[in-house]
Amino acid sequence: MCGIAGIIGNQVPDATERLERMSNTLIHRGPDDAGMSVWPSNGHVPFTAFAHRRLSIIDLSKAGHQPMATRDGHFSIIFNGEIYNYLTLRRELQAEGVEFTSQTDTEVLLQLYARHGASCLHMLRGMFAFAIRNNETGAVFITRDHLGIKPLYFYENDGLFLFASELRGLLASGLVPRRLNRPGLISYLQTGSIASPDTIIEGIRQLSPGNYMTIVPLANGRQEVRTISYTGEWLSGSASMSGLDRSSAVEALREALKESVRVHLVSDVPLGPFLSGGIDSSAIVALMSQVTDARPKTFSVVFEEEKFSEAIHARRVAKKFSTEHHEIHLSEEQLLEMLPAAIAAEDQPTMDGINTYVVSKAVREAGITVALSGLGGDELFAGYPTFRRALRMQSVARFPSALRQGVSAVGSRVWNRTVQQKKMWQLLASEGSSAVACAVSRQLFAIDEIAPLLPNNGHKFAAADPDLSWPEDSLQSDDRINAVSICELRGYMSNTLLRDTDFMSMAHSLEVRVPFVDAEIVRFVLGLPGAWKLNGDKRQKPLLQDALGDLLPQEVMLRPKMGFTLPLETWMQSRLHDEIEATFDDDIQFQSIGLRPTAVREVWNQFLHAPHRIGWSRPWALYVLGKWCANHQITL
Amino acid sequence: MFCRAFSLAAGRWAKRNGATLDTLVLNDYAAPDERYVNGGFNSYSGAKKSKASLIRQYLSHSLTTRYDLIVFGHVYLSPLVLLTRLSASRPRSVVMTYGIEVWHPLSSIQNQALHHADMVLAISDYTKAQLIEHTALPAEKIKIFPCTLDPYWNQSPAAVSPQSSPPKILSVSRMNKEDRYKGIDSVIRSLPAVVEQAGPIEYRIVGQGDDVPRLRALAAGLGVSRYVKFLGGVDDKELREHYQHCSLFVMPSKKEGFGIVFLEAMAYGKPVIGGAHGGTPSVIEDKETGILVDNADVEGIAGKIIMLLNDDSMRERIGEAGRQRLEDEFMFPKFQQNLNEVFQTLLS
Repeated sequence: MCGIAGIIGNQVPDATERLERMSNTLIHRGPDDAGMSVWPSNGHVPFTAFAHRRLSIIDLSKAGHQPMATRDGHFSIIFNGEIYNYLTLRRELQAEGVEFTSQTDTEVLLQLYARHGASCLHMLRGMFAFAIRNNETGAVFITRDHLGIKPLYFYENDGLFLFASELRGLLASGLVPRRLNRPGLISYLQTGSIASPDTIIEGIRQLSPGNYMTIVPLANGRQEVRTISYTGEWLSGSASMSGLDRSSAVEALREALKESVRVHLVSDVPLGPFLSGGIDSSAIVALMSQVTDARPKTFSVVFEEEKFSEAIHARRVAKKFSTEHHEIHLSEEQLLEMLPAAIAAEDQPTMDGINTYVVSKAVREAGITVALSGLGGDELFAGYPTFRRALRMQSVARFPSALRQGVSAVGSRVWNRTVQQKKMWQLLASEGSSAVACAVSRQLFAIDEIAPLLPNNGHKFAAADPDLSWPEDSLQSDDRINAVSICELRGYMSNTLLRDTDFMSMAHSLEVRVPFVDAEIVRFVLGLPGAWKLNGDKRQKPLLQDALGDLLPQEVMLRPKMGFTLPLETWMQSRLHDEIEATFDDDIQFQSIGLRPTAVREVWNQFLHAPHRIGWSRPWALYVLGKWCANHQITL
Repeated sequence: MFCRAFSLAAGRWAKRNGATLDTLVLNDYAAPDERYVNGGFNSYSGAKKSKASLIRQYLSHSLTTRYDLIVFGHVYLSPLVLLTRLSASRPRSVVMTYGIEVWHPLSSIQNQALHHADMVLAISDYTKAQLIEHTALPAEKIKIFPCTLDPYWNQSPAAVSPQSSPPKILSVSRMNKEDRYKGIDSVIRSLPAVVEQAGPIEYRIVGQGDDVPRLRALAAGLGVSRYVKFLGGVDDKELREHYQHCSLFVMPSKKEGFGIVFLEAMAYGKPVIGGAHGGTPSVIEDKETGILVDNADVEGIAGKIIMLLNDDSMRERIGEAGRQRLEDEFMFPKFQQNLNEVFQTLLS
């Protein structure tokens, strides 16, 4: 795991120093080594520089130093991530006569690209963001993994192109104005995170998952920048599944999961799974026991206030698989102490992610460099309530829309107190697609709640269309379960969960691997009929349960879904009250990011008046936004 | 295949000894293939998969003709042995047994019939041992009668061809749900390790069946789809080409009666990997004329495939030894000789 950054463009004063500053802000991502390559401008080829921060995981020797170039000097690479099938790809290249000088996956990636160009992306199994420069032509290729596990941000303006693993890296260049991006702000208010490709900073964009960019110098001295999706039909699943019955699929899925976990164990440093005691993390531990004889180290964080704790469940699973189980006990005091640092670790504001910060810190301090997480299980195996909601909407949508809108309009006037009720009326009035079900389920502020937060009551305010950030095929799919899966994978998982996991774990130089979010697994599971994942089954994630069979204890399977949550609602009324109140009192701060201080303050007051009905998430999201923007001096 | 070789050998024996043959075949629709049905045949008729029709024809033959010997080609037909008692000529009877159909306790009528038969043929040591266990037949009544390579199987002149790139691994098998014992899924499961350690390969699977979707899904889930080619049914010419071009043949079957496909691969001097179960050890001597593996031991299968792929001289040595064994034990002249002995013993 690492950090990467680059500058392309002429007439950048002190370009090398700027890149160094960018690289320095990424030091937490890669404390083990740093490197830089600089190519001065040459004819129509612009000045280019790559920087790399290394966290050593595979081949710890100096042979893994980056930027790395091919022996003939044609190509140079900077790479953040892991290629889990690199040994297989290495063998393939060797069979074609390629010679290697290191044991790294970086070199495999470089040689693979040198041989196959962009089509090498179809062969990769892993998490990655990398940049490769063709030193003959000066063209730069940058890309990101299929599902967005690893981040990549870029800034493009008048012949200047910057990219980095973190948005803060781009800010550190001093070349990006610290201005708030309005669509990013709206996106944040809608969902509590910012939907790709937008970011919270004007001009900075995310390279969307499953895309690559080429920056090619033209003879006229300008550059041609193109963005291309390489996933295409990939996401809609494998067509070869026809004729398959469910029990065969279940058997194949079990093998597939075992294999994914097996390849995710490739590492030259200590590795261990997070174990919350929930079905997803328990599944990872169970699958590990199938593919390795090594006794895994497992970790769970135990909150001393027992009601937040999943300790007993985690202990039970640890015992069953005889893991070397570590419980990390944290008191309320310790958790509260970590909060400011956790918020400071956010690369973009997010209403979530604090848990990951806490757990990552604890695991890293216990001597682990690579952790495994069950992230993605809910998206793939229909674990979220959104899935059942989308199915219910299918039956509601049979009624004429005029009738539904009428009922919704009347109902929402008389019975509209809680967030849940509000969401229900919105769903009733909608056209009932899976995308709408996802959008409403993940909604932080409804459209009619956002308008008052904005000056002039949201005059000329346009809601970010949630559909734009999702691939068209998912919206057209007549398989509602799979459509919701794709929405959740491309939406919540990619924009919130994976982003939070990346920067919160990287804050502690901990690499988190996610065996469920594997290109082969996702393609396989999306290729199966949605009905096999949920229909008529009251169990949670029945397909996953069936695939695991008797591997997991029944108690784990039967446990109701439980979050891994901090008691923010309570804290906000007690221990954190004064600190948050002071932030909401800072009218100028909220004004400077284009929000009406009185309206913002009203959200806080409403929460204090009826905490349970309003919920912690909205005032918390505003608080974090205000804090983050102040920390980074961002204004509209 | 066995049936065709048997017809040919029986016809030749009859012609040489001035005897005549009547043949009833359950599954045949078409006219018999004249390459195999020639010599001393009086009649050859198919029952078009109708058991009733087969029994009717059998009764009408046995009422009108005085037979000296009746060969029952399958244990399911053995109850007819009991009817030979009613026949005035008191013909001698022999029952053919292969594999899984007799590797379990038999119905009491089949059991009686086998005891009543004058001789029982078993295609492997293993089948013989199973028969003794489940029917308590005296060992001397059971004669080992191995399969043979098809007499018209054209062997390649240069048996060992250089390893192609990527190396090809071949299986030839029916793939219905009831054929899961053949172990094709174990081979697919071994592929991640094989490609990781031995480099890219192409795993060609000849054959069809309703289990193919499951096997495809297995390959897809393991991320090895691009190394696996499901070729479906192919004609004889194409099949021979696949044998010719493979680097090794694998079928880690859990309960193979014999495994004629191993003989076919051996004919091309290809090293074979088979299951250390059932009748396969009669065909493959471990580490000599092939490699035996545990059907369920995916790691072990991967290890043997990798070992063979990485060792040209071992592939050549085992392939050549297999070919020699085939020549010595399993070619058609030997089969003919075995059959002659059986007939002479029974008719003397």
